[in-house]
Amino acid sequence: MDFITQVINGLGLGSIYALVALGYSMVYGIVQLINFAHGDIIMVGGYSVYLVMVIYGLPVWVAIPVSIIVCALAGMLIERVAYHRLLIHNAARISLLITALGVSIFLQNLFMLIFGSDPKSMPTIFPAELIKLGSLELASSTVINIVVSVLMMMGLQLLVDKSKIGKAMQATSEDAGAAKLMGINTNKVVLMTFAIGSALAAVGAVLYSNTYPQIKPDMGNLLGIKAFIAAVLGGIGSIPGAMLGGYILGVAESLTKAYISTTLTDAVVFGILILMLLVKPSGLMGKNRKEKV
Amino acid sequence: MGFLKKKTGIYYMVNFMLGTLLFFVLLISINTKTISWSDTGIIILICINVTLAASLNLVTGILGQLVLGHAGFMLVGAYAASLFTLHSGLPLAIAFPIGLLLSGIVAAMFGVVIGLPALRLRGDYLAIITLGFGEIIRVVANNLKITNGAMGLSGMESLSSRRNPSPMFIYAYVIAIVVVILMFTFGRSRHGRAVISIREDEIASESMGINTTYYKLFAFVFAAFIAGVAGGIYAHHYGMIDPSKFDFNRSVEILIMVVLGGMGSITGSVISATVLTLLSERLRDFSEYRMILYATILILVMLFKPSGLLGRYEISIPKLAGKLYRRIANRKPHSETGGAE
Amino acid sequence: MHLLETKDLGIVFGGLQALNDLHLAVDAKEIVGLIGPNGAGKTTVFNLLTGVYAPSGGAIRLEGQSILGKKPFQINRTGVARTFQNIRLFKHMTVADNIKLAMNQNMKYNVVSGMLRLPSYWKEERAIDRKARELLAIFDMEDLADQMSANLPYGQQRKLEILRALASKPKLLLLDEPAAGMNPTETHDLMEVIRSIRDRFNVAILLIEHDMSLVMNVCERLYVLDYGNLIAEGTPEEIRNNDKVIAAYLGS
Repeated sequence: MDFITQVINGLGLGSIYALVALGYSMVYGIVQLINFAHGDIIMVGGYSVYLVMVIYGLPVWVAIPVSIIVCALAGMLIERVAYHRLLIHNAARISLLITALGVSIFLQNLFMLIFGSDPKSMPTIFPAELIKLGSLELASSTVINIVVSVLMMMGLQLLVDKSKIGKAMQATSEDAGAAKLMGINTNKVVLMTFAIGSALAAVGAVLYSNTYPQIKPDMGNLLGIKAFIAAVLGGIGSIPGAMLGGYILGVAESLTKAYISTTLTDAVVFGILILMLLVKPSGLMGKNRKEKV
Repeated sequence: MGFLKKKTGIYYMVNFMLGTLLFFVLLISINTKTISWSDTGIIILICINVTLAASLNLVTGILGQLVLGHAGFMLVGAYAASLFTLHSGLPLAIAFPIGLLLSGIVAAMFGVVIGLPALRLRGDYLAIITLGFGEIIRVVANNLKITNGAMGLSGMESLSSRRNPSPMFIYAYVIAIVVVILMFTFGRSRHGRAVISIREDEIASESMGINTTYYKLFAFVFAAFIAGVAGGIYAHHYGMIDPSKFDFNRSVEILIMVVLGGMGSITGSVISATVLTLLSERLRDFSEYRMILYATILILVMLFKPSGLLGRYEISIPKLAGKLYRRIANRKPHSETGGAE
Repeated sequence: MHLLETKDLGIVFGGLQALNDLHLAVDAKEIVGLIGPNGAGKTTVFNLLTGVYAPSGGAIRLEGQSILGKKPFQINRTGVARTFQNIRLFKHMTVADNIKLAMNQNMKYNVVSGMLRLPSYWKEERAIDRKARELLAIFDMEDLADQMSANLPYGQQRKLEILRALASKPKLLLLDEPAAGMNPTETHDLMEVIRSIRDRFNVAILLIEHDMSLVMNVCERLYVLDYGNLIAEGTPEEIRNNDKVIAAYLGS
């Protein structure tokens, strides 16, 4: 029974990774950029919730939409200010990566300057309860995480498959040049991708601060890396892949904590990444892309 | 074909002699206390950073792969050298150089383990894997017994003392200048050509008979080796180390030295490492502002001059002096053909 | 024994049979053309021959030895060199360095000699510098040796790519649309050059080209691909009158 509880706890943690991984995966699918700043968007989302609830004392149903809007806007702003010029000039990949890194450092230190580098305690977002399922006892946050992440993934998949913008995203990801010739405004598609990815990160931020009620300016670092590992694990560019990768990572982490060692969790996660890259670099559900010669 | 020109050979000699001259000027100033004890410390730090930046430039500038965990190799080297000098029982004058060699070797071994899987894949993966490695190695060092956890190691002795303030400087300076020269000559050898061709076009390089995996791994491991040695000097210069000294911010600082100086320009790395080290000594109390400034510079340089301020240009004192002389003598304007010798 | 021989060579891209049962043979010092409409799979053949793609089935033999499973750099060392449809020069390397890079496989001095500039470094570097300039002289490009290759005009970039391929001392030279973007005069010169390269370097040449005047004039034999299938082979004269080929080009 204890084992099953650990697995479900892992799924709860993995749900947060999965939501963040979706953002990495979408952006990478469209512009082939590892958006290092994506992890810091979670931090921005966390501080938005903190600001609304603690500083202004407003209720949670205000804080969540505000956080989502702030993150989406931040994502779009970052794309316009930092990446746009490089993307339209087809700059070297290394330039894009360094810029993304610059944005990440900028955000972290800006928030450190504004809010200080000490962790801030978060207020209760959703009341914590123990949910009994037969002989299993689960924290309500775990259940919320899993349910919300599954709903989000289904919504996103629907958006990508059915909506006009979703189809435009698929086309841009397949062949940006051809998409442009077919009358798709690829600039807008890129911008929307950043907005949607960042909005999902905001949801991840809310779930994270509900599960671990503490935020600090560099929280996006490790969270971001792990979410990216989840995206690679599942196959970058694939929505169900990102979810699957997130869950696997969460469960692996939870089981390592419970049965091996708390301090080694990060090393185990990292080991999984290296193993995956050695065995199947395209990820569990990813397509193998070849450079055209 | 610069290497066949007589003039270039003379330029090399002059540059080398100027480097040697600077060495002796600094050495005498330090020994006569014209340069204070604390300023000597800063000069040593500059030498360490020049070494680090030159080595990262090999991977990021010359090979064209982004590495975000250079501080991780530095950490490995720092701990390896410290553990050796603390426990070997040999006199420091013998243990220190052996420790430095060891720190390079251990860091290089980590380089093989990280590089082998990562370098088989597309470039972006190396960035994320080295970033992950840098963080993990720090977490592990924070939790192991042999590294003494978050407390770190202390009690490493410096070769220098207030009575004899120069030995550490000699080590740091000589190693820095040797690394700079080696990077320069490497870039102009057949092996360097192979590494540069991978940056330019990996597929074409492989189809022209270059074993790209081998050369990528070589550049990466060589850079790790040098970073490890720099870590070893660092540890003995400060006498105590803990994992937080080798965090992500340190990796970023080294990267920014390379980017700012010009990716592929070794002399650019030397200059920016010197300037930025002095700058961060001055801005020590304003760490957040400093990092915001660095980040802004990174973004702006990438947006408007992606090859860095010097690009791939190498600065040569006699060449500059020649230009200046011509300008003063008001001769006909001389057109440069953009060679980088 | 043929210099190059493929048997039943095929490759599938995500369910699409891009190339089907290709039988192809090139003898020493032959100039052979590979033609066909756009998308027929010509460049795919080059990518298979040079190890960029792994075939789904079939055999490739160079001088009787299978080269299947070898990496591109190993195949280049056994004697196959190529140019690319969209030029792939090392743009920020000098013209001479582009050529010297291809000579790397025949150089011996080690990393330490290179970094410390030991005598072996100077000896070999001087030798290849001379060789690189000799090669450049073929296209009257020796004055451009120290230019960045990115600064060359288009036609000379194509020529440099051919020289770079030759510098790796191939037995078989694969040229992917060497005349693309050249005007009729340049194309005419190129025909002469292709023949003289064959004679001077004793290489066999397999070339992909859309310019029919070049193909018909220079090639001794032709292979015609359409939708991944070999639809004809023979002398230029035979191909010119082949109904299948005419249908493939004009669309039937």
